[in-house]
Amino acid sequence: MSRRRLALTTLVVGFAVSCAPTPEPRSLRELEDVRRSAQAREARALAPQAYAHAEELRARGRRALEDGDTAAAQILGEQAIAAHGHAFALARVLRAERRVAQAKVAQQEKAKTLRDLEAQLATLTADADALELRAEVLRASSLPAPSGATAPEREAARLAAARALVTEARLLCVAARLVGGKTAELDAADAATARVEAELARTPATAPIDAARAARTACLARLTAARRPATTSAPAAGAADALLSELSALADAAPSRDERGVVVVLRPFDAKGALSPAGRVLVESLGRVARTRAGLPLLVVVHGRGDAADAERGAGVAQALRAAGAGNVEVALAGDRLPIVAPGRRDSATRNARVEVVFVVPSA
Amino acid sequence: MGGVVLAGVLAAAGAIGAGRSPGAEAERLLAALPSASSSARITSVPVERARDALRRAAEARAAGDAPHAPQLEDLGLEWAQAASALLRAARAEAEADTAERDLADAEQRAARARALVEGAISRKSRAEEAMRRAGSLASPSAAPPPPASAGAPRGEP
Repeated sequence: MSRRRLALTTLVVGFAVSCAPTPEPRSLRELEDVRRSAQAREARALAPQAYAHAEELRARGRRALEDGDTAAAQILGEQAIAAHGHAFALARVLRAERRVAQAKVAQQEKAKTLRDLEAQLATLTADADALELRAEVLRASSLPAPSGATAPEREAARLAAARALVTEARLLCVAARLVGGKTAELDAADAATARVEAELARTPATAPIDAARAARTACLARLTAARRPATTSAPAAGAADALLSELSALADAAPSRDERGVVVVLRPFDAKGALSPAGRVLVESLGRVARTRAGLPLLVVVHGRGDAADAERGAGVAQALRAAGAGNVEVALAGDRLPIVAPGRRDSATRNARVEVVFVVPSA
Repeated sequence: MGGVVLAGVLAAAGAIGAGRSPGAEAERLLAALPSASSSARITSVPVERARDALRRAAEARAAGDAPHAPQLEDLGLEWAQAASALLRAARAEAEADTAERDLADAEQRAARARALVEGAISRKSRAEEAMRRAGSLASPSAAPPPPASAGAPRGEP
């Protein structure tokens, strides 16, 4: 090859090399894949500013490449990829925040639905309770076949049962008055009870057991009616349950529930019939519980011989309850008509003698 | 969302305007990332790339490549910001999962309450029926005619 030809070849090769396009850096090639991804599309929609920043970096990278600064183009390409990643992360933040907001709105709606359902449930349950009780009262007051004459020993048993029933009637009527005050219907039930008591006082040949049962049913119906307003206005209150639970925590209380309310039986009396120290402590605790429930009436029922000593014992317990804070206390004497063990059995008098403190709850 | 991005950009700009270089700001962001393994797993890739960029910036500066060293620091900052945003995304998604689980619980409670209400409606209907039956028993006019044995002595009281 001549010297001249070599020089020409060198010139042509040199010109070709200087005119060839600068190779695209790898980062800018990868960036194009990133830009086409679903994540980039989501970032464009949800984080437009961050997406625009990434695109601006890409444009700068392209310009750097056109200017021949491959190193800057590579760096800017990498930075644009990072910016796309940043934009997609911000889009995820936004999507998650929207999910939280939607879930919280839905939760609030559900909470309201739940509250409405619970209120509906409480009302329905109270209605059903009241209806079931009224049905029970109606069933009990339906006219049974009259109890006819029986053998003397059975008649004696009926007499004892009638006395128990009429005593229960009396206590239920007192409870009804404590809860709802005097009403014409209650006066009628009271009068019916008094008539049966008067008849029993004459020791009739035939026990007025049907009349005693009817008197008890009438008084129970009055107590149910007296409780209805409070039960309907606060069906979910569960006052009796809460009270039972609180009394259960007291030492020696062992409370129970019956139709009158929540009952605590006092037994710790000494030989003279006075409250023992433990009994006084329990009575004070009961009075304090009553104090925290303003207006909750207490009925002190003395079971014994129905004499002056019983009255004195009842008055003593009532006074102790009032001193501890109970506001509304009434005493009733049940005598020996509601025994726990059959009279005549050994120690029956001791075992049957007791004082009940009844928290007459104002709602069912 | 625009606010979130703008806040991030402004914070970075503010930090740089306050005298911190992009490299120093990137280091600050990386140091602020929690070191717990669960967080590290989420941010490992961008953190690694941020550190790589900062290392390359230092090398460029040492080699006298003045124009490219700041660009590499910018790149480090971009990756550090991406790491922080990833962590925020993971936390927000965890919070969303919790909120959706709570919602599912609330839906379940509501479904149970609805079932109880249905039960109570049925119970009330039965009680009303019992009332009607008891009412017809209690009312002599509605009572069925007495059987032939009426008036005979009953059994136990």
